[in-house]
Amino acid sequence: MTAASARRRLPFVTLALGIAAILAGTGCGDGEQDAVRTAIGEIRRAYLSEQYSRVCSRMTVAAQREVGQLGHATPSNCPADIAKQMSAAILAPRDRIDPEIREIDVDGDKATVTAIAGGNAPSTFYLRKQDGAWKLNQLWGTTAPPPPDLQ
Amino acid sequence: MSRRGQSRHRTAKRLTGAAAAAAMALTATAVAPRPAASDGELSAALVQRGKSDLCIEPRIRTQDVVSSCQLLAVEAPMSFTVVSLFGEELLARCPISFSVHVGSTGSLVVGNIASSQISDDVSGPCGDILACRRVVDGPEEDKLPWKGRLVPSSSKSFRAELDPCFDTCLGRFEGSIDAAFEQTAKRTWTLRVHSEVLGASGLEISGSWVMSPAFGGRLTIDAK
Repeated sequence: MTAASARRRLPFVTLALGIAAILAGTGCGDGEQDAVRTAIGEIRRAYLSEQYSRVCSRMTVAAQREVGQLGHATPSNCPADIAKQMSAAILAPRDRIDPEIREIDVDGDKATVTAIAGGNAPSTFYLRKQDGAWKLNQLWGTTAPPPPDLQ
Repeated sequence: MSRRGQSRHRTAKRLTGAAAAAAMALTATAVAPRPAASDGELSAALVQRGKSDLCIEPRIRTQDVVSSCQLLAVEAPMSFTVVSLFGEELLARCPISFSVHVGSTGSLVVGNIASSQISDDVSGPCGDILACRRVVDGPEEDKLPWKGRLVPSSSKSFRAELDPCFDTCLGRFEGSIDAAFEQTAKRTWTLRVHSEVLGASGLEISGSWVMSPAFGGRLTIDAK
């Protein structure tokens, strides 16, 4: 490479480095997607080994409330709700297989995940970054909160 | 969003005297002329006392759906299962009844969704699942009809593309599903939903309903 061609390429190299720096700074790169994927794996492993307190520590208050509501009752204690409503001890064999993650879309501190769990159709769930950690924020792809009389 | 066909009406001819009598004798057994349908469309008609009339496109008002070809589904259980990162959980299994309004070209509207165990004052699993409602300035609520369309599957069976919507204690689940829509006897049709997930919502529903015309006769649907 001659000195002249190197000078011509310099602005493009600078621009590329600048864009990479911006993307890294805003969390738009694969790094955050990998962090979400890792979080999902950790939550799943804790769940399958029935460490429900650990699972709950990786869930927001909103997601903990969803688990309690699954039993058509007022949510009480997250680990107890998981043990009662969705115990891993009685999980069907196909639900023990890790979900196939199809898509992870990260937007700031929110992540939307589409995955196939238990051989079913793709479904959506949501994570939120709190205190530097990705936590499960919504277990299902619901489009609106429950009406007041069903809460 | 379902594709809505255009409403078509048979043109009646005015006849007099002997010609009219002869024509009436013929129309008592003859099938009404069907309009030419465009690609993928169907022709749906209600046959009563040998006379066939094309179905009128369903009209949706606030709560009610009106059409000439209305099928009533006998109450039967629908199972609601939620699929999440933690596997499948049965949310409820509830008896559901509804009406299906068929349009002249196979458009569908499912309305009057109800259950003997689902109402606002019932506690328990089925009380936590309601057909979606539109809240209008406070207490006034309307159940939202589900729209859809029929697509030919085989000679006597069709695929019903529907967009069910449920308000539950977990939130609102909505999305498209495919159901089997089959003629199982001369006057009855069956709508069958087998483990269909509403879009990517994670709510899976199943059920089977026997349906017959609300005002007698029989519904005929032909693929063009």
